[in-house]
Amino acid sequence: MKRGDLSRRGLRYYWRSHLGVMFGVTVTTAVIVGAMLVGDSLRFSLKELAQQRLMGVERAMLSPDRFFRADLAADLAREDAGTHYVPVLYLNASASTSDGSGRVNKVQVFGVPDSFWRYAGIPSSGGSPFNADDKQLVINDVLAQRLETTSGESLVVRVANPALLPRDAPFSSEEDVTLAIRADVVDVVGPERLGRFSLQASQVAQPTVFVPLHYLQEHIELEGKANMILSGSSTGLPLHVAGVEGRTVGDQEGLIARTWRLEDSGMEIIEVPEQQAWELRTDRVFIDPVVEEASRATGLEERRFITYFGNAFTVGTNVAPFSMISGVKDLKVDPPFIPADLAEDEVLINDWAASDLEAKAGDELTVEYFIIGSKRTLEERSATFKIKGVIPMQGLARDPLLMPNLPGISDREDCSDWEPGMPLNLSKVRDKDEKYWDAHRGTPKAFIRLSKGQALWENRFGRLTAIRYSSEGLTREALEEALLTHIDPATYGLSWMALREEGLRAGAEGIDLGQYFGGMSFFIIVAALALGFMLFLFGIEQRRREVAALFAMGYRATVIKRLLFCEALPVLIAGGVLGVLLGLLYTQALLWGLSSAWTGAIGDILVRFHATPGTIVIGLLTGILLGMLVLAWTLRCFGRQTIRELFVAGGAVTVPGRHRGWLPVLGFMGLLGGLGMGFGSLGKDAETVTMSFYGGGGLFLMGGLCLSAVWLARKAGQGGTHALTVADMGVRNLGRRRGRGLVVIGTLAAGIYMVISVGAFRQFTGAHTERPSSGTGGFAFIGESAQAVYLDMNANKNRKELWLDDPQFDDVKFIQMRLREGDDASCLNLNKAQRPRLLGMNPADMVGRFSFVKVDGDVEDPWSLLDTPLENPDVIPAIGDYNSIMYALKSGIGKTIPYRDEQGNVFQIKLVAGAKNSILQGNLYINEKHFIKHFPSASGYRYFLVDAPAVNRTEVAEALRKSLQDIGPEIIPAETRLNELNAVMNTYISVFQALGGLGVLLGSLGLGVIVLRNVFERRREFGVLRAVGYPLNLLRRMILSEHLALFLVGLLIGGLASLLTVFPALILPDIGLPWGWLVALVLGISISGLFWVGLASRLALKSAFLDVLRND
Amino acid sequence: MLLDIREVKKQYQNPEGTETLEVLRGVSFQVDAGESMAIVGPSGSGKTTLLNLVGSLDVPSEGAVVFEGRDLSGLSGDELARHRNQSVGFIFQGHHLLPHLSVLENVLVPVLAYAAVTPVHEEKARKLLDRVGLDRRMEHRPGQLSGGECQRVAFVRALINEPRLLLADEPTGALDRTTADGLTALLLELNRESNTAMIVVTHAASLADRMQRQLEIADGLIHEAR
Repeated sequence: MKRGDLSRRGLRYYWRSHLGVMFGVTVTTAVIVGAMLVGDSLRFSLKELAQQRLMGVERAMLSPDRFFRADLAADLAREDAGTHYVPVLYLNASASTSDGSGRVNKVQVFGVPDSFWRYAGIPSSGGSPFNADDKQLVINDVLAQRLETTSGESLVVRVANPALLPRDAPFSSEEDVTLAIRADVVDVVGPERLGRFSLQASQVAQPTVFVPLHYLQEHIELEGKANMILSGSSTGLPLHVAGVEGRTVGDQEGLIARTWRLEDSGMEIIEVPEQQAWELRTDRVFIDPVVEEASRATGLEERRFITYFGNAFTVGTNVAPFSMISGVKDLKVDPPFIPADLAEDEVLINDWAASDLEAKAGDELTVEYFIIGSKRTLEERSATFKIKGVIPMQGLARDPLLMPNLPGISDREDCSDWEPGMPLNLSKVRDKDEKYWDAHRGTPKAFIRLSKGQALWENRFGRLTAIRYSSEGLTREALEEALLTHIDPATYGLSWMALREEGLRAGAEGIDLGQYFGGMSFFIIVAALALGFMLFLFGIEQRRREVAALFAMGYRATVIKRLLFCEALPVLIAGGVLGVLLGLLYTQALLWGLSSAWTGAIGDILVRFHATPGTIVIGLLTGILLGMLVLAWTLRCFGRQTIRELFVAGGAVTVPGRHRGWLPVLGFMGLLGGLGMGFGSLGKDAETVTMSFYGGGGLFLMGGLCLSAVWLARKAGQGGTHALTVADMGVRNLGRRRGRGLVVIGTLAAGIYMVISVGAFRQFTGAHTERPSSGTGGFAFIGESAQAVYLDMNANKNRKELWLDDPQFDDVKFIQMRLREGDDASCLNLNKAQRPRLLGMNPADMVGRFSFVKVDGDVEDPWSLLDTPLENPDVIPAIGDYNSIMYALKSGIGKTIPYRDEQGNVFQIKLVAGAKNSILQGNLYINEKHFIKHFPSASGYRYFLVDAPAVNRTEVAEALRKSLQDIGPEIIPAETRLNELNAVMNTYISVFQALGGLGVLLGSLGLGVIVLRNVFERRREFGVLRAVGYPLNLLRRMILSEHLALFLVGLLIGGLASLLTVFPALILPDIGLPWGWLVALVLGISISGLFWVGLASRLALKSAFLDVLRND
Repeated sequence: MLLDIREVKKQYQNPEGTETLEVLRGVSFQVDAGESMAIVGPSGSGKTTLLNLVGSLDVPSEGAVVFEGRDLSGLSGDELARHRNQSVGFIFQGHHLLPHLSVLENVLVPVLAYAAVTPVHEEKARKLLDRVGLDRRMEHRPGQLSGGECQRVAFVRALINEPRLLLADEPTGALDRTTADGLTALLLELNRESNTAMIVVTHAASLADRMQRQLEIADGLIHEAR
């Protein structure tokens, strides 16, 4: 025989008493495995969705506000034969049925060639959903469902008209900001045919329209252009799965650098034969600063120009309308055009202007011109110059090419045909002006120093309109080569986004449901382990004389504990294995819950069951390890008994009537401290009051448990002259096993407290959403449009143009925000937001709005932080919703997030404040001036927070939708949005309460076990009572009174502590309480407790007590 | 001298901690190797308490228990356990056999505390069991034995490590007279053969009379009754 045999034989003999251990470990492992597998299943489902979203697409190169050659994709493909490159035009749109019965406002439009479908494994010949390269639409099933349309029906898709010149730029046209495509739907594509294609890592499928690329290019007058190139595999599978060794991002960046052309940056080189020069110019009017820098870096001779449109030239009383004026600077050009002695406030005018204005040297020339401010506000300014001289119209002075390409002007035959992007009174155009236009087009009539011109007209888009180089000995190709050498393609958005890698990472690092469910099942684990190991302890207590004998034989306590440990270990492992099986079922149950009652937590995503062996093993080992730890702890407690105590009948000796003297003091301190903490906070902000009452409830609970320990001790010490009743006999028994009693009271009270008080954190939108400090910020609506609005929506002069001049909009105010697309960082997105959407606005508009959980700094209003420069000028401050920052971004206040600006430069965004439970969720908010600096081409406003009177909001919302329908507005009541966001957290709380409630029910089952155990231990006493004539129902009353007292005390302490915690819900207006659910929970717990106590009493009294007595 | 009990006192406090109950008020006696001794006295006089102190299951409030010249109060818990295993054998009124082990295995349990069971141990156990008339019951479980047989197993279990001191607390208390007489004879026989000192706590005069010495305990004090 070996020592191990002792454990083995013990197990074989006492296996029944170890079933409790098995139960505890089984439930624990099941809960852990179940929670982890839910996490695995969600990650797997998100991975599948990412794969479904991208199919063969690996990377994308997106330049949202610029356009490059679509042929760049073909150039790349020539260099990289293994990868499939496709040019795409990506635009925002709204879509509606032709009869207007259905409308979807946030639609993504992809102009794609047939080769696009090869990413879905569809061959270019014959398999394309397009049946021709002309006017037709392919939509995805999401849009089809929302519009209730299908193939063969006609749709109207209104896309943003993406002019080459940013709409915020001077001279940009206000006309045709949107274009409508009315075409038939030729196919509806589902997930298997790239119907989920999107750049955003989100589980929410986007409504999508696919249009033949050529058709879209023609329709928006951007022939041959694209703003996105995709790369990937033409098999429908990821490159690595398709067996293709894909290039690294670095390799692909290198490819771009080798294949791109100046044209891809929107620049062009034109020949100016009269001047024997090359001119570098752009359709965007203003040359990007990076090109200016690159030009300087070439070291070539150059002449720089900024040519601007003057509304009027005035000398004395003579006025010449609508004339161009150029600022010029010669670099290394000899002789210079601008004399070196021309002062900053001096001007040279051509002889035509001198004649027209009857001006001569020494006269003053006043130039009036428009400057475009924020929201396209036009400001007419003027500058006065002293005429230095009059120059003949020859050479550079008669060069019409100096006028940049001004849309609506430079392409018109007559001045009367102009359609400038500014309000010009064309009736002022004279006949001689028309003649000048016919003869000289936009040849500038005046010339000033470049520095003066830049001081007047420089803007965020640039400070030059042309750069000229001598063509002597310089070919066009050499010039282009020289310039490209000094320009990083990333500056123009020509850098690759690793869509697949980021998509998979976003899913893998997204919401960890495993962790959430693990945490939410915590109380089940505690209850199961407590119950299981209480049963184990009962088992070994029965064997205390054996244990004592082993002591007497010289076995050390550690050896005995090790023997008992080894005896229980196989049961524990078996419990773990059984737990894994149960865990698989538990996973299915949780997934069912997530797809039905708890759908608010994850939205419409269908989470598919997925189990990995690694997770199961980890869950199994965790369950077993937890069991082993509790087993060791249980044995440690048991081992504290002395040998003498072990020999004494009944096991551990409880000293009657004694308790530590400080216990009552501590108890009363807890009760009073809890009440003080809670009620002392009244009058402070809601957050402080809620947290104080929560903490106060905890203190109250601790105090109550201390006092219940004192009560149990007193019960044990009661006697003497005290009038004895049957019920009293029962209650007095409580003191004999104070530890057990306290466990019952503690488990019930703590469970009730946890389950009910967590409900206090339910988010309620409340009845005061009009308050600026509320989660809605006091706003009535949130608006987001497919196309941007460029004008100030609050300015009366613009309202007519925007169809907002209806009297019902008089009291409606808009806070307009610029939007940079990114990931949704709200709790509605299960993926980790890699780059949240950025919104740029004027912080002054937001002062006093929302409440804040945490602010990085001591300021009166956190929004002012967006205006406060940070120490590092490359870091810009941002505000977000606190929950978004903490959970969706997994970041924190004071931390930074890297972003890439329009020029491809990385800059940091520092999170300076987190708003409390607000509609700010999902986005980060920065100062508009920072936004413009980093995204100068992102014109207009697509995001709006809307203030509106509390009355008739539904009608106002509907009217807004109608008025703004051209820009595809999605108008959501702020309260509705907040409710949607709150629903997520509230669902998690519901899950916690449901699982916690299960734990409490398990705890009440433990009460039944204790009843059975107590009666079993005292069967000799009951035998004596039976012997002296006690009827069974009297004994039952005794047992019931004893254990119901425990139950009621636990219920009372837990209930009172919970009531204190949820007290703010009774007094604060913005918080509510699910009374129905709480009453049901308490009733459920009470019924369960009564049931188990009753059942256990009945079972216990079936014992033949007299037989026990006779045997003794 | 094998055992020297020097002025041993044992006190317990009442639950309130206000009063002290002095069970033993200064007990001294010696036991030589091979000596047999009975401790008698009325119920509650402290007999079992004294036996627990002698067997190092409990520690005295004052005084010393000296075994083979070594004061046991200086030993750690582990050292006391080894002492009990190697030097002392216990027989309880309730035999406290392990119900899930066979008779033979129950006897070998003390061996296992510090060593692996070898065929030598098994052989020795078999011989001892044979000696007490249980040669046919070696593979039986305690539940299949009579009270007297269980007590004989407990007796053999106490002897398996060849202790120098055998302590028995009412060893025949739960047995009928015939069985009790047989067991008493056996105890004495083995006592003589193995030169093992023996202290028996008993109410049974028939058992006490057969010991070489009798100590009577009363009012917390002890005196030589015979």
